[in-house]
Amino acid sequence: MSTVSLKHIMKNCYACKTCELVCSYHHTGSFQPSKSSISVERDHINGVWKWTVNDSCDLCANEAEPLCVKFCYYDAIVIDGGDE
Amino acid sequence: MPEFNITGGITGKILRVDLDAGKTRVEDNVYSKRWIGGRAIQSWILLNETKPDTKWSDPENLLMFGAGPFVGTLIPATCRTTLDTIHAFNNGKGSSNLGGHFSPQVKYAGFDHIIIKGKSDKPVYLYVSDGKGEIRDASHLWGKTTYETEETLKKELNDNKISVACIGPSGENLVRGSAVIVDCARAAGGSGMGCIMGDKKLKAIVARGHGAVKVAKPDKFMENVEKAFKKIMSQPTAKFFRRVTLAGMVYNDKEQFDALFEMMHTTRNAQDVHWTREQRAKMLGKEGVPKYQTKVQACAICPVGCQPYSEIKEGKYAGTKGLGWWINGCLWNAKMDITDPDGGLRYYLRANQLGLDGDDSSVAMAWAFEAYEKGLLTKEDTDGLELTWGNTEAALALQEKVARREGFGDFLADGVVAAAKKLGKGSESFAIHQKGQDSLDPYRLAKCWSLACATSPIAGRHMRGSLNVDQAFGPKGVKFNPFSYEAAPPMVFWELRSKEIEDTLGICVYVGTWSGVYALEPSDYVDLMDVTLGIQISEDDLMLQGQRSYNLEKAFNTIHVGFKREDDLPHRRFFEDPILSGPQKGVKLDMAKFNGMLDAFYELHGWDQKTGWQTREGLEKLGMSDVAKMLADAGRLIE
Repeated sequence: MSTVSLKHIMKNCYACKTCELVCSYHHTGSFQPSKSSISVERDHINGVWKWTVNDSCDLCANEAEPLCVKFCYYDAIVIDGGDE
Repeated sequence: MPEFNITGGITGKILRVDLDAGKTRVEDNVYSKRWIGGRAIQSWILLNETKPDTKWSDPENLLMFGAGPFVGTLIPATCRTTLDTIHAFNNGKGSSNLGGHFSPQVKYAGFDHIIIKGKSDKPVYLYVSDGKGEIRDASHLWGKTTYETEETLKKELNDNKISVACIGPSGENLVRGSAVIVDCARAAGGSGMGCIMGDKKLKAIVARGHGAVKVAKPDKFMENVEKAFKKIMSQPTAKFFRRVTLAGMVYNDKEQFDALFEMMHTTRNAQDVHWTREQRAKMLGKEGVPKYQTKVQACAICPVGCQPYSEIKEGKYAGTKGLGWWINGCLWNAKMDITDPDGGLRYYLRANQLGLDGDDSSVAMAWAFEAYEKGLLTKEDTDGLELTWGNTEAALALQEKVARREGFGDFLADGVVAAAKKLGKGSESFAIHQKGQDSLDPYRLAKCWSLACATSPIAGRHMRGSLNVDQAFGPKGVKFNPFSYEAAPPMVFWELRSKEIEDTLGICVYVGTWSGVYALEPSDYVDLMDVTLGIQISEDDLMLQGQRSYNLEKAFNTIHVGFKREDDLPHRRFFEDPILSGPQKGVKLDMAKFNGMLDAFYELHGWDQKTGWQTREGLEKLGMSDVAKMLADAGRLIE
């Protein structure tokens, strides 16, 4: 069973939301964060943010690597795990 | 002028808001055909839809928010919002620009621009989402800080993904130098944007979009985005900025940063420019990072995160925390010689909470400090505050008073020109302003900086072609020398057109030609416009488009205010009072040489050297004969 998933590295993340946006391009061919598998919620007052990925993520099946990994400017997303 | 058939990037819609009638409507964006987007469109609308005698506080004044055609796409650093209006300090062209995450939400909500007219009787906020705008009651938000406003709206709308542009108590109290704040940190400060929003009783705009932004050539677009990203990250400064941010750079205590500090700052109300390395070092923590910086965040889609989050955990200001000990905080502190990092950070973050523009308010406050030094103001005038250089407690107390127009704060709340007029006693001689707006900038050393600030159509504020350190880009054949009067006009003329393009498209200058990492340039914008907007334009023609945008603002000022050549001169202090200490001691501006710069600058623009006004010939070369007619009708065109 495949256990491959995206792993978010919070200490590297700058909350720029590029992952959220590029994911929507994979799903729709346009830029539409509401259709993204990834969500970034920023709390500006406390300087924290919440990064989540939902079940619609297919690790960009038709791409050489997930677009969020490829386009992350801060090396904050990696592929975690593998076939067992 | 060319006509552009834009097929991607834009939404094609504009939201019009009438606060007098309490109504909104949607119209087609017919302006992109001629002006492409961003500030160029808003400058055109302001020029056409306000009368020459319309003042900033008239209901007929427009307050506009623009998201350029690159915004909402994956192009790096396309996060900018341009705000345009009638200037609250001089009734000329007002414009300001901010980053953060607001602008893309406006695009996903379905709009390229939001244009607000009229005044509400009671506090309201505007909710913009999915092709609609809704005016909602904001009585419960009035009086709240920007932090409280964003927090309240997120809670009551039960949505953490909204983006909020709002004002604080300062804007509500019509303090002239008030800002519009986005993400609790990013400020549109110049021109009195927050004051105008307060005058319209508009507390906030909430943007939340679920729609899409499409590009003209998706496959090629992704290739170009990769290319742009690689170009940005190949610059040696890119990762340095991410780590120390610009505040860490200007406070750097190494010798090679001495000149940068002095070219960027004035101290003690522009009497001086010098801080010792030891003074600068006090503002830094480990490894050149600004003291108290705990992490750094980025604006939307930006690879050059530059916004520190800071927190003070101990001492007198324990609990002070927030986004952005931004570079401007350094400029404000230096004005009053505040070398205390705790107080300096508190002063910066408090300005964002109060919605106070620190550039403008610090100038008026520094003027009061100098008047106090000279004995023109006493404790009896200042509500008991001892306005001595470096007195952090006094600066913080005065900042609160200004934002709330309390006591002596009210005396300063209409800006430095108005304050000096009230006080008299020769205090006008050190009330530093440009075209009526409080001026933070240094003018004596970097001539590209002073020429661009002095001639800026938005009354100073160093964002229209100002340059100081070595440049990666510029006109061919011009060797950059920051101290040279001769090199400045062509450099400034090149850079201001590039900046207009960036503000037309919505891309941040820190990845562009102005500053930061110096990566993207007009040739890159041409390629990106092809794949995003579906239009082909040469680099030269794009620079012409930037020049047209700049000329719209110039024309607005000439028609509405009649600014002339003498208004393009810096304050007398920079010509008469030399720098007091440090390696540049004794330096001041030379009037004859400065006038030589103005002559050359006007010639490059095709403007009249005697008056500084635009000429029919110059405007017709740009394809702007309709603007020439407006100037002629006002009796202010040079035939």
